[in-house]
Amino acid sequence: MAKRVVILNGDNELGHVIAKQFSPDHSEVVIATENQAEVHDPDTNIKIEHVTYNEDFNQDLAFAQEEINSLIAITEISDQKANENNLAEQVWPWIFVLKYLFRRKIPLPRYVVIVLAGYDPGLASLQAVQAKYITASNLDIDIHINLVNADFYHPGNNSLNYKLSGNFRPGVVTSAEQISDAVTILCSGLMDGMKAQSVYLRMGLTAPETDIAIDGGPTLVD
Amino acid sequence: MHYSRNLQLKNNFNDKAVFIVGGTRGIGFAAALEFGRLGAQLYLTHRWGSADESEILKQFREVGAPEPIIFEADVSIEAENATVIKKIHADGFEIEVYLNCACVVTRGNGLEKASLRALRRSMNYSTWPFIGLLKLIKKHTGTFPGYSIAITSDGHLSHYPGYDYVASSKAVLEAITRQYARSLYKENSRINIIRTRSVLTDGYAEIFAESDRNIVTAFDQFTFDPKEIANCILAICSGYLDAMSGEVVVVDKGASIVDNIMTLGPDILEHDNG
Repeated sequence: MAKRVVILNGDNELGHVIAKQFSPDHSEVVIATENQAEVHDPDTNIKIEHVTYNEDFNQDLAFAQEEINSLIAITEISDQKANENNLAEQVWPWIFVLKYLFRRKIPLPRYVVIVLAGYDPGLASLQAVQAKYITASNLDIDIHINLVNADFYHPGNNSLNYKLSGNFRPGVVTSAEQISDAVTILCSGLMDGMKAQSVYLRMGLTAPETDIAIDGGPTLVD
Repeated sequence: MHYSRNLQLKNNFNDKAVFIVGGTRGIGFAAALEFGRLGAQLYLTHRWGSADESEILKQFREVGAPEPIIFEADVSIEAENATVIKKIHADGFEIEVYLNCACVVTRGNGLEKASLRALRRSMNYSTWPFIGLLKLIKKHTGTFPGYSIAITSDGHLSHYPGYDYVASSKAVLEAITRQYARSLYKENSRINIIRTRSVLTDGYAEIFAESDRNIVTAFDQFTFDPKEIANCILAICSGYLDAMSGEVVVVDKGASIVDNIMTLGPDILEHDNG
């Protein structure tokens, strides 16, 4: 069976790294974005498609007309604006796509991975709760909704600067490649016992505030 | 296999040492077979003569794995475990993976029979050895393992019949593991916990009464074959999760989010009514 991947809010560095990692083993990788027109490089199986997430379930959502094997939703946390639009821009899109598929009687993806790239514990909790409740209502089907929490994501460390006023050293930031690896293993079949859980990429740290307080700022912050 | 054959693990386990405490049955044995199939040299411990060595060797041969080296060693006795670690070092290996599946079961039986001795025994066998053996590994091989993993359950977050002491040991195990994660990470050593439930092993049968097990197996979408947990162990050691350390990875098929009176209660009543 052709395996398709859709990456929501994926037209950014992280989304493209994930797309390239999934590309060889999948028939099609779609990067969905609200920001730009559609692009399809004929030399690859990676497409960029425009999407609008709203309440219109009659719209023609091109990437959701057939089965999606893995749905990856990227939440890049970078500034105040992102926080103000969390529900509409970060939480709703992956729920919208699942509901869109459900209404068309298209099987739900086997894997849904919500990536939190950057530090926003409130948004992380919100995403986790949604993952739990949607999982609970779909326990009888083969769907695995999990989260990758990368508090220390490098481009997203704007969120750390914003919240904590510090430039984090390379040794404690999470790279796009590390996040992509975690997404890959969650969609590999090896971790199918996980449902509605979070994988934290924190390199032995716990949470930014705690570690700054305990470990001492100089360990983490330039 | 339970996972995509297309996935190429980042780490190569061929000719690497994997040390599994409690590795001759249950989750430990399932993980041993997975690593063995990938070419790793397994060092397995067990106690009380619980292992059928000829059967273990047969199963390793069937998957084309190198013959494991099996030791009888009490997890709570430092000298016995030091012998195993010294052997690994003498064989020219550093330890790539250290997995501790040992859990000595003492059933709780209410406040009237609560016992400090039983609590201490649980800690001595099921908590401290995970950390104590890490120190021994460093002492005798010069390095910490690339990956250290222990198995816990959600017993300390809820209540299970007779689980008083095991739950206590798991709670401390999760807490103490996190404390060492950052310093180990700086030495390129990762330490994590897999928290699971309802893995149908011999150990599970030892702690829970048949009537309790019957309830659990009535909800078989939440039960685990040990191989499924072994796959998660392999995932953590695969190289794809190297940014993760000091974490508790919950592997429960979603059971913990629905296992409450209002959500699962109606199903239980339906079960009781036949």
